[in-house]
Amino acid sequence: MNCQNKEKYHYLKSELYSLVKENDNIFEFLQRGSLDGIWYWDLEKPENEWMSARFWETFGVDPLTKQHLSQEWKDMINPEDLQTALKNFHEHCKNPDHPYDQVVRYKHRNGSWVAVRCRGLAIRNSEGKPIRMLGAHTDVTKIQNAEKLAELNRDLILVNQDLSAFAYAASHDLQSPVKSLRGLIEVLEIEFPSFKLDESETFCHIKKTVDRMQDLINSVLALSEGDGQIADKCEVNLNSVLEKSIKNLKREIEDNSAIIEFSDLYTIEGNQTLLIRLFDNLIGNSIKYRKKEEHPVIIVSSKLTESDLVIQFSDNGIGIDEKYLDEIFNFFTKVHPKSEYPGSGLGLAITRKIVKNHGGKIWVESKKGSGSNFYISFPRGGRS
Amino acid sequence: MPDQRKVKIVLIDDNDTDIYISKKIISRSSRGTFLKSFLYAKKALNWFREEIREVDIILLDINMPEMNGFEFLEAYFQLPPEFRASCTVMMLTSSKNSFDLERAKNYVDIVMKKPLTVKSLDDILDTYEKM
Repeated sequence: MNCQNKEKYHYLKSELYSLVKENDNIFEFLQRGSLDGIWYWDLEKPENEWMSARFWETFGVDPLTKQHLSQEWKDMINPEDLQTALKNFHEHCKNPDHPYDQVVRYKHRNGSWVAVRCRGLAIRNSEGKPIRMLGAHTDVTKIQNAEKLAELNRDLILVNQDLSAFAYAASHDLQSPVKSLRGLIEVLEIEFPSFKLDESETFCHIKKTVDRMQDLINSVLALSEGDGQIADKCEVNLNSVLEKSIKNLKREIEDNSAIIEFSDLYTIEGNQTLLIRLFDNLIGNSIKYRKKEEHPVIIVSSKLTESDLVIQFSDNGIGIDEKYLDEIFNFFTKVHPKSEYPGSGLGLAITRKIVKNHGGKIWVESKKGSGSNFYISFPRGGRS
Repeated sequence: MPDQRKVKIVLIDDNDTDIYISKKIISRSSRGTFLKSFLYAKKALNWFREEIREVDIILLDINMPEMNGFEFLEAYFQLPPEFRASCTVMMLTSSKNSFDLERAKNYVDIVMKKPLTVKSLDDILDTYEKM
């Protein structure tokens, strides 16, 4: 109350109020600056209603084409919203405490809907009978659209979480029959040693197919697991990540006499398990896509730029045809025939997801026949 | 009758194919022998309750309907000690869920991946003999 009293008697306030009365420009400035249209309705001659220029401009209409008739806005308002507005209007006329305040849609000349908050105040004569109605429009289309967008976004996030959970559950459950199949194959071999099943080409294909299925399911599982795990973040030394990865790939490295060179790498904040998988995938690829005539040489290095930590994996492998460079990080992309280079086609998709989950970026520079350079950059905020 | 000198193994798994695989693998072993299998953990629990059984190892699945592996263990460890004296529980699961695996380690000494193989049975029997 105190505040209001002070407000009431502030000399600038009284000055402004009298200025509004004396000078039309002041009122014009106020309504233009704060509202998207005002209207003043003669309730004794209800066909007459004055509407400000801004009122029409908000709906893309040239004010000069209008004659200040109430029918003119009734033709443009959404019929449903008109009913709501009229209901509130009648209530407000009967009872001043019932607010005339609602959001209504008007058809813009370009065909879209404009949502305006329409507020009004009945002006009454000495007997309390409403004789005029003063109204104000505020364009809330942008706010409404933003709200709708935010809602859609929330829905999208939920749908994505659902999909990710589904992929996880599906691949998790699919594992069990595949594992049973592998078990049955082993049992079959034990049961009929005299059949020499290993010499049967059909049997070898069965085994290979089951392995491929297992590999595929594991990859889908890895892909869907990434999201949850990123929560367990800690300081990770990339040198120890590389060491673990070299251990994981021991067999591939020995079989191909691969050489892995690396300098002192940095430490980043992240999830150790996922980062090891990332290194496994990239180094594993470099070995898999080697040139037959050369031993694979893979160089892992890292450097700091102004904003990022960049890790580089360079190899002397077969390289990637430039026309595929954009596709290789997508799901199920296989550039080579399965028989020559078996794999799920998910390795780089998993790699990209891990990088993304760490807030980083991955890209590749390569030419067919002359090796590949994969780059991963992490924002330096996460580095120590 | 199971060979008395061999390690007696009970299987609890709702998947009959996996039970079949385990049985076949065990039947090849010179050290272990298959005693009984249950598709429902509840039935296994009742069987243990009825009388003192001579069982050396239980191979228990985690994900099962009605009563899962963990619920079985909760109830099993409530049994009087003589009902589970010579018995070691080892979990056999295809679960890759790290939460499940960590939880399993709180109850049992060994958590093995499904399906049972000649090699993993050997590992299980080695562990059993060292206990």
